[in-house]
Parts: sequence; structure tokens; C-alpha cells
Amino acid sequence: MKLYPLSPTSKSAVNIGKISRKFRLKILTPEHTPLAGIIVLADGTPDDYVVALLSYRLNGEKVLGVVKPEEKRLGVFSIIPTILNVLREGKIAVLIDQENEDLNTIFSEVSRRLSGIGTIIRDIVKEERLWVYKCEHSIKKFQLIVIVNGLSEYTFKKHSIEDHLLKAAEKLLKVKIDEEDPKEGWSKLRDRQDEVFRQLKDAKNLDDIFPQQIKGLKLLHNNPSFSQLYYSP
Amino acid sequence: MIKKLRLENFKGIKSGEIELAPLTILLGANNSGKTTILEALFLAPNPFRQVPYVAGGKTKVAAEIVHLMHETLNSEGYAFLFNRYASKEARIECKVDGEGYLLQFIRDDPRIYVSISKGIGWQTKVSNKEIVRVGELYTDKNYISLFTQKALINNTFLLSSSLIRFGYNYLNNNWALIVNLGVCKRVAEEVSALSNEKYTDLTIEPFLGGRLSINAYTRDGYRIRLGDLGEGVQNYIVARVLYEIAEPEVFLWDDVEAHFNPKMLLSISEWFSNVVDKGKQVILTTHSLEAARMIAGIGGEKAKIYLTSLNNGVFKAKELTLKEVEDLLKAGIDVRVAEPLLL
Repeated sequence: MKLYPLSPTSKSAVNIGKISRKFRLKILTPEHTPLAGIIVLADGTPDDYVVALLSYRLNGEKVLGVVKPEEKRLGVFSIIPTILNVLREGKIAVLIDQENEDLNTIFSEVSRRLSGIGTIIRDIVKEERLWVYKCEHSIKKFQLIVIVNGLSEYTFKKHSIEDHLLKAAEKLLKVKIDEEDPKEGWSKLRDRQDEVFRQLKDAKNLDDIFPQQIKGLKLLHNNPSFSQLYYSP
Repeated sequence: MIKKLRLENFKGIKSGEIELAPLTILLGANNSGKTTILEALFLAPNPFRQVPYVAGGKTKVAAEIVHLMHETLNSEGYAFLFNRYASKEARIECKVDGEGYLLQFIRDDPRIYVSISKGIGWQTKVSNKEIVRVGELYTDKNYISLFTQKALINNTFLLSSSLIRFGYNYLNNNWALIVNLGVCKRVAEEVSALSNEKYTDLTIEPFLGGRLSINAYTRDGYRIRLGDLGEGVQNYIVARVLYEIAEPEVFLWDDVEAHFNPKMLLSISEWFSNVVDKGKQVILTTHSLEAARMIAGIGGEKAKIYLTSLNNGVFKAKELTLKEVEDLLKAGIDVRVAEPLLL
């Protein structure tokens, strides 16, 4: 899929452009319409690098907008009405780190914040870290795909997109992971981060490294109807 | 006040309209029709009226200035006024203080009849239609025939950084008039507040070789040629003096942010608001979100931001409040990029 950053001068847009150029991903497009959906980065970097790589891996020609709102983490749900102004129909995917919160707490907070902005939730399809909401806001109907970054197989104190990057390093570069904080662990790999990204570009299968992100972005890209979600494997 | 503009087959715009506020800021992508809107408004009061611009040693009329702006197209004549150079009729319609007004360019190659719905002209029959002709342009050469030199609706004046040199030439040729306006000291002091150097007046004096040049006169008694000052300072000085000479009811400025740092832009924003407070109208184009937010913020309720788009010749403009622009920014959406999605 192709990415269309909705603020080309933002740090995330620059990062996506940087990684796209460095690894010849060719995922940025100047074509703006129609947007199949919008990806909201609740935490910024390195989520932007991951979205760029996964967009390359998912291939396809559909165009997705990318935004990094000023608000962080759960605060990003307040901007959904504004996003709906530029998205006539389609889907919104929010990538958010789990941090040290319980998953149920995060999802119930998402529901509370959606109600707070006047969004009606008609239905929800739930998986561990991937919830798909069928919503209505004013006259607009949309699907909200909430992807919570983190992997339960690690006993980190906090979970974030770095869990996945460290797993990539472990699996693809045979690096031993013994940090308690994934952000610190990823930071210590500073000199090998490019190597991880390069391997991710060409690795055979990323489904076990980015399970919820790949599934969530596929939902955004392939556009199944909501009822199909109940029967998807 | 010009409250509404409607265009048909004028330059790149096949059709489109826009409401206009006392302070209108047009924000949009390249080639989204912003400059065409300003050019239409500049021509509307009468393409044959003289404007304070000098090129080739002569004071020009509005149509010639628009022609000069398109000189890089390397073609003579006025066929560029027509959509795709091929339309037979271009229309500029304005709603001025509740009344309709129409300027038409009607083509009968190589002649272009210019007809205005107000004022005195020559009754002429073109393609079985009666028109009131006030002048003629030509498709194959740069020639104008004049019938009247007055503005027939609210007088407009267009400024852009590419026009500054023609304005400078005008100042050079009309120095006595400018000095007697009493504006030079005021402008020099205003510029001093925005620059590290302190100027007390603007003068015209012989430079090396004896040719006259406009100078900024410093508090220490030095003279600095206007052309040797930074481009932003030059543009500001020329713009301020030209505005006083032209006394337009509608002031048009294309790419207003060009060459200005935020401090100078802030001062210009305040100037625009003062102009609007005096009952005049200001219409600007910009690519800078920073400039649009600053000008609209200072302009308050009288200011409106319009997001423009041009698609297959269809011009659209969407009004956005400053709050809407801010909300989109908070959401990580730059209106200049989201314009096709918002319109």
C-alpha cells in the first residue's frame, strides 16, 4: 500500500520519507484521492518506520493517509471528528503502545473516549491486541481499528512497538534480548537498527513479529465488510 | 466591498466562484487558481485604467501588467486570458455592494472586445449580441485601444514580488508626488522598527555615475540605495508607498509571505487589519500556513481563510475558520495537503 502523510513537514512524515529513500521502499505517493483509510500514530517514532516497512510488505496500490496528532496516546481519540472531515468514507487505524497498562483498561478507555466525543459504537470485534469498532459519528459511519503494540511473550514492564523490533532483532539478527525496558533495549541496538530494518524489508514472514499490526493494516487495506470480520480466521 | 466573484473561461478557470470577506486569505496548492482570482479582481474595475507601475519607461494599464506577469509564456497578445487559449468568451462577474457587475472578453480573432456592464462605452454587435465596448485587446499582438481610464467599480490594486520592480520604476519617475504625500518618513520609521538599521526618511538622489536612485536615509546620515537593502525591506517600503499612491478600495497581494520573516509579516498583518478597519478590503494569497494563521488571527472576525482547488478547470473554495485550521493541525493534518480531501 502507499502512504500519503497529511502533514508532509511533520517529523513522522520526514521519517517515513527517510526510510523509504534509504531502503528504496517507494511507498510515498503524491496521489491524494481516494484515501482508503487513515493511520493515526499515537506514539510517533519508531512506529512511523514500522508503518513504512509494513506498507511496503503489504504491497498493493491503495493509498492510506498517515497522521501524527499533537495529542499523544489515548488523547488521539479526541481528533477523530476532525479526521472524519477529510475521510469521506473508510477506516481509521490507531497504533498505540500498551505501555504498562492493562489491555482491558486501554480498550475500555478507548470506548469511554469515543462516547465522550459523541461517537456511537454499534459493534466490536475483539482479539487480544486488535479491536475493530463499528462506529457512527454524526452522519458518518466508519470502522475504527485499534492496534495495541506489544507482545505478551516478553515479560517487559512496559510494552510498545519496540517489543516487535526487538523480536525482529532476535529472530533475524540472532541478538539476545535481556533488557527489562524494550525502549532501552532498542536504543542500545542503535548501531544495528538499520540492519534490522533491512532484514525486515526482505524477511519471508513477518506475521509472528508484527501479528496485530499486519492484521490491522490488512483490514485497512483489503477493506472487508464488518460482518466478514466475524468469520475471518 | 466586492462580496462575490464568479469566473467563466477566464485563464485556467473554466468555472468557479468565491465569496469574499473584508480580509480574505486564499490558501492552496500550486496551480489551485489563487493568482487567477487576484488577476480577475485586478482587471475587473477596468482593464484599461492606469496603475502605478512603469515598464519600458511608460506607466502601464492593468491589462498590460497582467500581460507582463505572463511574459514568461513567451507569447504576445492576450489569448492567455481565455481558458485553454481557445474559449470564445471569458467572464468576470462581481457582486459589489449588492449589485451585479460583469466584465467580458469576447473574441473575434485577432480582436478581443472588452465589454463592461457599467459606465460608458461603444454599442457594438458581436456574434449577434449587443455589447458595450470599452476597449479592445488583440490575440496576436500586445496592443490596447483605450476608451476610458477610470475604475468603474471599487478600484483594486495588485501587488506581488514580481511586480515590485515595476512599482519601484513608478516611484523613481514620480518622486515629487511621493514626497508630497508625506508618507516617506512614516514608512522609514516603520521599517526602522523591524530592522537593525534606523532610517529617518526615503530620498531620491544621484548615485555614483549621476543616475538617480531611491535611498533610505539613516539616522547617522548615511544613504543606502533601496536596491541594496534586503528584499523583504525593499518590498515592504515599495508596497507601503504604492498603496498610498494607488489608494485602492480593494488591495490584492499575491504570495504575501515571500521574502518576509515572521517579525515583518506580523507588522504587515497589523497593517492589513488597519486597512480593513478603515472600510477597505484586502485579499491575499499565500502558501504559508504560518502567514495565514497570523494574518487571520490578527484580522479577527473580519478575516476568512479560503482553501482553494482547481480540478479540470473547476475552481472551488472552501471557507475555513481559524479554529478549523488549528484543529486540523492538532490532528496532524496540514490543510494545504488535505485540500483535495476537504473540498
